[in-house]
Amino acid sequence: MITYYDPKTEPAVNQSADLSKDLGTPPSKSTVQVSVQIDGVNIVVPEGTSVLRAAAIADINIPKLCASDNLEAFGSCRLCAV
Amino acid sequence: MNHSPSDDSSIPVASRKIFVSLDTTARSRGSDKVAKQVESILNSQPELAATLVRNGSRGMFWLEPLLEINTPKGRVAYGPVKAEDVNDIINLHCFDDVIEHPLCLGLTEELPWFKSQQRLTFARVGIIDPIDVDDYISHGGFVGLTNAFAKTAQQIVDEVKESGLRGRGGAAFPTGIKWQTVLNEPEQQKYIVCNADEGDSGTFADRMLMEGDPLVLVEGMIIAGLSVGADQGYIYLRSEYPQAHDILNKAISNAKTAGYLGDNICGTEHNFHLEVRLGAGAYICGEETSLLESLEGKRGLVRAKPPLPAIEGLFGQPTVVNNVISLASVPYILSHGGDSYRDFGMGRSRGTLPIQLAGNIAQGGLVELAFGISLNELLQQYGNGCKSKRAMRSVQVGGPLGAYLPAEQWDTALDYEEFASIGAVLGHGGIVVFDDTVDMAAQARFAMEFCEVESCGKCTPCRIGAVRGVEVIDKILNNESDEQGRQDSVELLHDLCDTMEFGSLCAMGGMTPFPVRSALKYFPDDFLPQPSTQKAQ
Ligand SMILES: Cc1cc2nc3c(=O)[nH]c(=O)nc-3n(C[C@H](O)[C@H](O)[C@H](O)COP(=O)(O)O)c2cc1C
Ligand code: SF4
Ligand code: FES
Repeated sequence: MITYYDPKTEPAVNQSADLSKDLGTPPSKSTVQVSVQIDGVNIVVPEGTSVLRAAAIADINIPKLCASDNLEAFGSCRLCAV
Repeated sequence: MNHSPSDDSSIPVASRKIFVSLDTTARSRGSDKVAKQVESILNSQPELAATLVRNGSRGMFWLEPLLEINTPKGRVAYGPVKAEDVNDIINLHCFDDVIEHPLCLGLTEELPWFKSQQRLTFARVGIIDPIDVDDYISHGGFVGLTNAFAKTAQQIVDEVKESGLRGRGGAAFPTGIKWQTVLNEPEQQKYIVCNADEGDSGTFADRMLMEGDPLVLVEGMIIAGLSVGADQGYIYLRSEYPQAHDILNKAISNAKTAGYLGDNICGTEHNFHLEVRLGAGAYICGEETSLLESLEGKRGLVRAKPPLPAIEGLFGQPTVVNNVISLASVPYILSHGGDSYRDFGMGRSRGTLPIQLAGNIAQGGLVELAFGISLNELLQQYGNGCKSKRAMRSVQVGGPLGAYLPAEQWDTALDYEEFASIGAVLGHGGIVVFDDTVDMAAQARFAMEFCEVESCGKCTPCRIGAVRGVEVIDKILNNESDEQGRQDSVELLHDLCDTMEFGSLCAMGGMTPFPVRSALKYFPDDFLPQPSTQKAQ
């Protein structure tokens, strides 16, 4: 059976976040929280969260092409390399 | 030679042996013809009562085909031997002494090239019958495994950590730490994968080992299985090694018959199954994640890390991926102790490295030595200069992605950190030598071209960068009049190299700049406009 991903009907995936925004990589399942500072902005995210996603949650825009929060990181275009 | 045979100084008739190698390099130099000739003589003169053993190579490739005869003093070597020399050698030789013959080299183990080596991993290569389990055991085989049975998984991993062994496939990652990661994963299906793709130019250590002593690799993989809790192993072998394929399969089948592979190995509660899988000729399938894709039956596309293969590897399960030499060094570590292995080497490079001398070199072959020897000693003492007898100009160490080193860097010691400090890599220990006729600009262009051909195509800096790299180098080389334009192109090439080095997903695109930049830096004259006579097309 084919199942389609629909962000509107699967709120669990994008929890806290604004559904109109793609955070780059799927959420981490870890229950351990870590704090990071990106460009001077402090943010707390679950352990295993990608830098791309943490930055997006903190409203810091890192350009990306092949990354999407409904796919595992693919790493093909390298646009997001910082 | 003046020797009077007495009873206790001659080899008993039953153990008279003649050795001719079945190694691919030896065969390419005619060892099969020599072996055939030996066989027909032994058949027609049954009174000689000797047997022919097809062993691995001793690694002195310029002396192949090498023929050895066992005597009370040790094995006597003759080489390079042609089929027509065989009759003479066998019939002059009474199996009890070194005879005088133009091809006689004396005792094999006294040859300076061989004697000065520290053969730990290659201890049995060229000595035993590769697929004979009893011969393997009588030369110290399976001692490491027996010791491993008496240890817990953690104790085995600790022993490997203690040895300081770092991966010999290229990245030099500590093997013990990799095993620890896999051991730490909860109990589930885990795998041991041996990387036998050996794609680096000028390398043959993996092949020589698999053809000369495949059981040491089998033993290393069983120990790895015990240490992390894996009961299935795969050897991913490049398809260009048909002889190694054949020998590995025979060795595995013999090990199974002898109870070392399968269920309840050696009467213990442990299981270990082992299979050989063939690649299909792609360089990138030597990269571990691409290799795993290929093993799973997919196109060899590199995976993004994390997750590490140690956590999600083959079929998504925790997997140890190690090079042939890394795994084959483990039995020594378990039989002699991690500290004994650690006693060899320098700095953070512990143990020995099987170094492969190739390219334009008079005495090519395999030299296993502790880390720390200088390149110069290897090139001159062991290699004896260029085969062409011309001046040596450049050497490339560590395969097609390794830097080209000019003469002023040849005093560098073979050590991972020393090499890193001059912007070079040791990689798998392959050294390719070039004489003064080499065109380094062409070599730089070739590096980009190689990347273009072998790229898996997944990421942009490598897939597109390599194509642009070839174009820019062509632009530099074909620019005869506009010096400013030429310099701009050189700058562009550096810029492109930065993008590839820092932006690529794996070391294929990430290291292609090494040979390009080192050629540009140390051999800049080769990139200048050449007199138009050479440019004529
Ligand atoms: C382009 C590329 C090609 C590689 N080819 C090989 C190879 O042919 N054999 C090998 O053992 N490792 C190769 N490696 C290194 C592997 O990715 C990996 O590091 C190695 O198998 C790990 O084993 P080790 O820790 O025992 O060295 C290659 C890496 C890259 C990036
Ligand atoms: S660097 Fe090249 S080989 Fe490696 S993932 Fe990118 S495209 Fe593939
Ligand atoms: S967006 Fe990061 S590699 Fe494509």
